[in-house]
Amino acid sequence: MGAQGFQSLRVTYKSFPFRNPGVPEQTLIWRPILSVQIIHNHAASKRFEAVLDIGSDYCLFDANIGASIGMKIVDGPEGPLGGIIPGSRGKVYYHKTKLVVGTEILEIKAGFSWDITTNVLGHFGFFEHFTVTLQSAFEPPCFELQRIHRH
Amino acid sequence: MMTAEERARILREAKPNSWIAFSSDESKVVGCGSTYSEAVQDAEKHGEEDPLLIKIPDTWEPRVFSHCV
Repeated sequence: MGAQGFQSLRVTYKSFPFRNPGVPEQTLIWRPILSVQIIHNHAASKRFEAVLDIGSDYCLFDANIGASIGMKIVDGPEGPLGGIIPGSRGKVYYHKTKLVVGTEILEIKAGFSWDITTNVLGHFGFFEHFTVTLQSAFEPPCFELQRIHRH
Repeated sequence: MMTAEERARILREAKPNSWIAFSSDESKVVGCGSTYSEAVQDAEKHGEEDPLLIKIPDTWEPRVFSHCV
């Protein structure tokens, strides 16, 4: 990766514990994870892990990360958050922020919530800027990231 | 860099609903806390200025991350 950003980046999936009584033989799971940062004004967060989630409309980050760099979380427009299982819904507050992916810095709108258990990189803010090729059959699995440059 | 099994073990043994901080090279745990900020402070106390923060969920049961707004 150079000062002009990276053209292509290969990243190995990361391992997580897995506990599912329906699949007791599986105790470890691989997930496509990126280490990213966010920037608000001139304050940058520490690097944190976020899962690549093509089914997610927006990037969602733990509100504590935004608050730690001075974001007034509840001042942002509020939206609901729901998943594939109907039921509980959380609150998300949207803010413009800068997302740091490797040497790339993207200006995005992202959701911040105290109700999420995992940071998520979704369509708007992430997948609209990168071509992502998942190599889930590899051992260990990996993915390749290519920046989409629009002119 | 730790092995996949070692990383999974560390995450499994971490306190639910907490944060942990790995060292910059992701070879060891350098901090933890009940909040992101606590984990960052703990990492810095241990001399790590570029930690990698991970949120520990309440359970390691299967998750579907996808959502719509």
